[in-house]
Amino acid sequence: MSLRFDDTSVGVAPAADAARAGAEPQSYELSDVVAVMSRVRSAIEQVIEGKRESIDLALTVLLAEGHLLVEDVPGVGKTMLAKALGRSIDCTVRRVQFTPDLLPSDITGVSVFNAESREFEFKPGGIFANIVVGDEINRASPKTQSALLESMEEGQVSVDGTTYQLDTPFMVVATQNPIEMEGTYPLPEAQRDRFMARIEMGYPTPASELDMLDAHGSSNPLDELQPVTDAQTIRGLIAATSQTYVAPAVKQYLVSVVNATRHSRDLRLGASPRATLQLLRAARAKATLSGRDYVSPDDIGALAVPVLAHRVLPSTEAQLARHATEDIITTAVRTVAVPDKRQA
Amino acid sequence: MRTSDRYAIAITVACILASFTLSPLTQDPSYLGPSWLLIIAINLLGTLVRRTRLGSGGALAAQLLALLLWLFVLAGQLTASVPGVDDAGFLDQLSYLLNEAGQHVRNDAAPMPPDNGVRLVFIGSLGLITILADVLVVSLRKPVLGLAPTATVFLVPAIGLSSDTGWWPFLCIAVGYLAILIAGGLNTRARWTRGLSRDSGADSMAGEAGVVVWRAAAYVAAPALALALIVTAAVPTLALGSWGFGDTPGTGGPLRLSDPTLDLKRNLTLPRDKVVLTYTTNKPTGTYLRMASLPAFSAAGWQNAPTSIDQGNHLPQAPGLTEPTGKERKTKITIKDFDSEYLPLPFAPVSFDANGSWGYDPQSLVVISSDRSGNRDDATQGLQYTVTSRDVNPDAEGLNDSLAGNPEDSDLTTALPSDLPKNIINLALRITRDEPTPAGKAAAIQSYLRDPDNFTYSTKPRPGSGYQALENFLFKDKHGYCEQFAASMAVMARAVGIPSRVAVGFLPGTKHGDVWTVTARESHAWPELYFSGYGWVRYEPTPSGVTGSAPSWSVPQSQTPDDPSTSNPEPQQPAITVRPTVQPRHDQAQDHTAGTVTDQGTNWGAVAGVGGGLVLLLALLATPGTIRSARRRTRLGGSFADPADRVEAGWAEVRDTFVDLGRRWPAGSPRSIAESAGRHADQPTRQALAELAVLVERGRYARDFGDVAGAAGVAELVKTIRGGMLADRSSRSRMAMRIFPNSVFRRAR
Repeated sequence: MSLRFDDTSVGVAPAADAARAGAEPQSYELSDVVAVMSRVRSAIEQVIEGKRESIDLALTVLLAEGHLLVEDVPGVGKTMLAKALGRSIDCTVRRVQFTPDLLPSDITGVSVFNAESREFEFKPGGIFANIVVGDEINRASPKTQSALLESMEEGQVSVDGTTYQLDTPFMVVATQNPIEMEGTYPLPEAQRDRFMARIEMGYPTPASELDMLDAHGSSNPLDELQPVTDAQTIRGLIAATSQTYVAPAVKQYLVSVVNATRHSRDLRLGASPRATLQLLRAARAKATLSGRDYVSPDDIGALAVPVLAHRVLPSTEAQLARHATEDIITTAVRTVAVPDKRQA
Repeated sequence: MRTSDRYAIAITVACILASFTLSPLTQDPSYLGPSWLLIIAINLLGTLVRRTRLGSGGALAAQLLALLLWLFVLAGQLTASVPGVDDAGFLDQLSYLLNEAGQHVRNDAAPMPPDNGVRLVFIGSLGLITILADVLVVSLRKPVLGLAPTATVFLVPAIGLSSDTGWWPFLCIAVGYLAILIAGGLNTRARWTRGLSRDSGADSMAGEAGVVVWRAAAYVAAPALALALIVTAAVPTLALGSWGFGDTPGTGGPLRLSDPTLDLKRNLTLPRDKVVLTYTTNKPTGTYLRMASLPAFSAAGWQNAPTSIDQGNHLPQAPGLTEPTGKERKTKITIKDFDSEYLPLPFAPVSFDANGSWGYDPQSLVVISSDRSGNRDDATQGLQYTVTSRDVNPDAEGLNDSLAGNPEDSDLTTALPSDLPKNIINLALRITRDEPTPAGKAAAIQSYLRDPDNFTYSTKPRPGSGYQALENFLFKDKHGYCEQFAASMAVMARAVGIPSRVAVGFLPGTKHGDVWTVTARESHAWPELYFSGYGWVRYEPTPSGVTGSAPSWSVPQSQTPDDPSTSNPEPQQPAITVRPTVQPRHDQAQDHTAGTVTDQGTNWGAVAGVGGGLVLLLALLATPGTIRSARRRTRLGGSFADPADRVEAGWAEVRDTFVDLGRRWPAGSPRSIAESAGRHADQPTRQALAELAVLVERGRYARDFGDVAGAAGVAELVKTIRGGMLADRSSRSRMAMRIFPNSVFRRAR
């Protein structure tokens, strides 16, 4: 069995998790969100140098209750980012290494007969954690992939007729290697749509790489990383984030942006209504992270590429012309006029 | 304020301005007050009814009802003193008034005397036009069409009036139209700000249209106004008529008049017995038949002047003629083999019934073919027509007491060129030295020229032109025919201060039975001199061998030409000057009083016109800059209820400054704009831009603005930004930006 539970914190029984989830979250102010999140950001930055944008996007997705797809070549810190995020928050983190022989029950869990109590006992799978790191998700069979993705969407797992609620915050950080495509099962469009955002880590700058040598040369900084907040706080911050105001004109702008991808000549498939919803949530989170209690069109513009690019399909012509999907999205966003009048 | 309210105000302004353009048609401006009340009432009613559920249809019905009611009241008032009509029904009163108006329009030349019917028609039409404008602009939302109703009012005097309508009616209409366009522009802007929840595509279309309207107003209307003002001020003879507007049906340029003196010379050399025309008349004496009149004198001799031509067979009263004249003369003229564009008529013609298209010059009462389709030069060929005229037969005594008048075209008929040889003027002064009255002076000049000891009639004078020909005739050769005699007398009359012109036509001819026959040899030219109360009076300086005796009025009774000194009953009359400044005893409205400036002096009217035009041009030039600085003051110093509005105003100011500098205002969110706008600016400017952008963003997208303190500093931020942006500009470009700010003409998109 290739499943490896790489627990970075003490495993928590589902029952306890449920109790914690039911606790009344404390209400947080905007300034609390900014303060807590900047602590988390600094913590992660101790581990990953020079990846401010990726970190911010990961935090945005966390606050927006979405899932993150990290796509890049091996060794640029995909898993490190996921781990650091989990480590800096006092919550459960599990890592699932996806392989072709991984079974759906390895993800969701399995009921085992307990000879002593003469009862079936549920052994939760890898998904039962606050932050789940799914490594090389495209290496698992479609069956297993869909087991993960369904749980991601619904926030619950059904095994043998019993439904187990997943703890919140719940965030899947899946990584994908775009280079070695042999023996992989690329995620179909419908599955990709469930990830709120896709980021590419990219290589560090030479300076960051130099710093990395110093920091990682002798010891693993991940080991020294201490949690700066806990799941309870994050739940409160998520609740605070959903209060962020979106003006009607900005909503209109958001819809127009998504619509623009549907009418773009370079795209065969535009963004779905789910994308509209997720873009709105992400924009709220980004605004909150920036310390604003309202969403500005800039938030939407900045998130359009990470939130929309992995959901759309370029047309054949665009592919032949080697237009990057990101550029097509950027162009489509530019065609939409930013609301420049005050509402009455 | 609603869309329809803005339009209603603009229409009120436009229609009230339009009401002025009718005033040249009547002598009675009393129609103005009631029509203004009506215009205001109609617009007010429309505005109020539109606020109810009745809408535009209800408004139209209410307005028509109000117009009818107004006419009802007015008709009652206007017919109150007319027996038989005063207690008749409304329709009878109305038809009475309309009949009356119709008669006036048919019979009277503009300006019409005061008349109740005309007043009612004017007020009614203005009311109708207001309703029409309301329908077009407010109900149909087509402010661009708002010109049509008021322009109709403008066209009535422009077409119906002979003389120059001047620049101001056009200005009235243009300003009114501008008001409507501006209201349209304001409405488009207002629509923008409340339209955010609507489909943005439709809104941007509306905004586009608004820009077009604004640009139309700025680019088309302003230069058109300036041009109209300057051109009309600089070219005093400019008349609609001379542009071919009001004179004839059909198309094409103005009428080009041939030189009638050429015909004269040609005719005089024709075979003696060639019959030009015959006529019968109801009076025992024959009559001079006048064709053309040459009012302009210059180095080139006597010439036609640009004139405006009125259509019609009924001529206005002879200019300046107010003394009772003789009975009507009816003359039936048959033209034989004779081609001309001028219709030979006895002076002063009242009406004629010639076939073809004829127009008349109200100043000279010359009738000219206005047929544009064919060849006008042979318009008289084979023509038979009847003329009613009144002979001008002044009594010698009355004429002797009369002063040299001041005709309406005195700028032409009194002007003496400054380069006129002095000896001609000296001769005139010498001849008339002993004559105290203008008529006496005229008689003296005539008798000097008629004296066979002085001059000999000959149709073959020494060749020459202009002054030279005149000097030849007067001082050297002393040979000439009627043209030289007439020209000399007219020039000398002007030299002694009597307005003059040269008429060209025919002598009365010879009578055979009842029929008078005029041959080519009887082609003739004679001077006409203008006297107060008598208007243009014919003189006959050509010797009697050709013309018979001089007119009775031109020879003082108790005076023989040889003995000029004994005659005058009041020889010591001292106060009479050449150009009278005191109204003579024939004091009539049409007789202009004194002395406008004559010959070579400064034409103060033109100076004032050009000066006024320049001032207006300057004002027009200063308008964009003034608008711009007024906007800046309001934006930075105005009071705003909502701090977000203050921030928006500051942002708009930054944007306009940007556009003024000729730079493109970037598209996008406030932050991105601030970033790209401040790319080349210094640090404080960038900083201020970023701060302002955040405020703008907050104002636009946040639930509530909140940060009142930040908004208070907007003016400071804007000043910093403006300072930073203008810092690297040359003083010239700053000046250009101040005078001609782009942002007034162009909206940043």
